[in-house]
Amino acid sequence: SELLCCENASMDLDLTVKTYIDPVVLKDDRVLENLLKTEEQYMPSSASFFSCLQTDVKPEMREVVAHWMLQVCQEEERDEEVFTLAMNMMDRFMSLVKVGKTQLQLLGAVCLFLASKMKENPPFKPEKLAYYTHNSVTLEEIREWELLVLARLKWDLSAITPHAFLDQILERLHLNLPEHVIQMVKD
Amino acid sequence: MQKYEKLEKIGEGTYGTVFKAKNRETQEIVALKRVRLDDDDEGVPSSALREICLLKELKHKNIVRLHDVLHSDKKLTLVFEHCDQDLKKYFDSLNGEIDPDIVKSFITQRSNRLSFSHCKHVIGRQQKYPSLALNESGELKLADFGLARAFGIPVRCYSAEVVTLWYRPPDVLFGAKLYNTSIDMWSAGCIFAVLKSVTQILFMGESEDEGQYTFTVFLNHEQSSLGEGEGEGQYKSTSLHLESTVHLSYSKYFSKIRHRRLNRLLICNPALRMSAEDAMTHSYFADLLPSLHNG
Repeated sequence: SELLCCENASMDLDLTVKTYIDPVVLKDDRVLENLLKTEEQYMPSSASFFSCLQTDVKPEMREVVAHWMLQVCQEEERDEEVFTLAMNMMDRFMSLVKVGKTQLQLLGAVCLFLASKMKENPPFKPEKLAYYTHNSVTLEEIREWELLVLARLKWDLSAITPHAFLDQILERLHLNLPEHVIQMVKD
Repeated sequence: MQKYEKLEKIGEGTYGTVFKAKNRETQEIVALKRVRLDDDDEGVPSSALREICLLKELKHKNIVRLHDVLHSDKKLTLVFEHCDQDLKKYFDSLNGEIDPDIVKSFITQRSNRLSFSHCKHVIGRQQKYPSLALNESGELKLADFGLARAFGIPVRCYSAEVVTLWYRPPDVLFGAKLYNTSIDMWSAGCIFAVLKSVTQILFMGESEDEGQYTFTVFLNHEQSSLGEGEGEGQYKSTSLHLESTVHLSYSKYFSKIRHRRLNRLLICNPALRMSAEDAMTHSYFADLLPSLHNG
C-alpha cells in the first residue's frame, strides 16, 4: 500500500513504459532447448484416449467444455495461459483416468482452478467456478477433485504452453519490427 | 505417514511446520514440511502448489530435492532432502569470521543454481540467506520456493510484493512490475555482500518506505550508471521519483563492502545488471575447481 503513489506514477507512463527484452532468456539457446524438452514431458500419455479409454465422453463433449472454459477465462479477464495450461491438464488427466459425462465440467473447472493458481494471483475462487457451472458442481467436489487431479498428474503442472515459445520465435526471426507491431502479434 | 518416523521439529516454514524425520525402510533422514488444508479455504495454497511443481522440475545439486508428496484430506506432507542448517545459523556460529574461500564456494554454488533455473524458465524471487540451506559436505541448497514462478513472456506484470524486503531490487521496490531474471541477481549481490562482511544485512529496512529511503542513499551514488543501455523506460519512472528525495551519505554502506563484482550485481538499472551465466564466468571464480562449475 505504501507503493501506491509510485504505482500511479508508472500507470500514467504506461504508454511509454515497457520492460526490456531479457537477454538471459531470449539470447540463450539452452532456454529454447529446455522448453522443447520440457514440453514433451507434459504431453498426454496417449493421444487416442477417446478410442480406448473414454467410452462415455465423446470428443464433441470435450469441445463444449473447452469452449465453456475459454468463456469463463475471457469473462473473468484471465491470463491467456490459464486456459492453455488448464487444457493441457485436462487432456493429460483424460488420457489416464476414465471420466463420466457428468464429471467433465467438474474436471474442466478444477483444471481452471489449478491453472490459475500456477499462473495468477489471486487465483479463481471455487465459488466463482461453481457459479459458472450454474452450481451443478459443488465446492466439496472441487476440493476433492483438486487432490485427485494433482495425484494422477503426479503434481507435474508446470507444462510448457504455446505462449512460452512466442518470444523465443519472434526473437529468432530478427524482424526488427517496431515494438507496437510485436505487441499486436502477441495479442 | 507410517513410512516416516518424526524425530524433531526443525521450524516453521512459509505455510506450516517442518520436521526432521527418518524413512523407516531406508533409514534416510528427510525433512517433512506440513501444509494444512483448511476446510473453508481455497484448497491447496498456490504457494505450495508452485513450490511443488517447480521443484519437481528443477533437479540440481544446489536445489533442495523434493522426494515425495503425501496427501490426505486435511494436510499435505512434502518430503524433502534434509539439510543440517541454514546459512544464517551457520553465520551465527562463526562469530564474524569467515574463510574467503568458503565465501567463494558459496557464491559459486549460488550462481550455478541461478544460472540453471533461469535457463529452465524459473525466477526465484526468494533469495535470502535463511532460505539457503547447507548440508554436511558444505553444499549449498536453495530451499524455499514459496514465491518462485515460471516465467512466460517476459513482458508481463508480476507482483511487486516479492523477494524478502532486504533483498528486493530498487526497480521492484519502487513499484516496477515488469521484472525478469535480473531480480534474482540483485538479491545475489546482497547475499554476496552479506557473505563478505558476515552477518551484516546490506539494505535493512523495516518497511517498504524505509527500504526505499535506504536505496535513495545508494542510488544517489549510482547516478552515473543511469540512462545507459536499452529499455530503461520502467526504470526511468523510478528515477523521476528519486530526484525529489533526500541526499544522504552512503559511505557507511560502502566503505566495507565495495567489491568489483558487487558493482556489477548491485546495479540499479536491471538492464545492466550481470546475469547468472556471466557471473559464473567471472574471474573471481577462475581458481575454483572445475567440478564446481559443472552443474
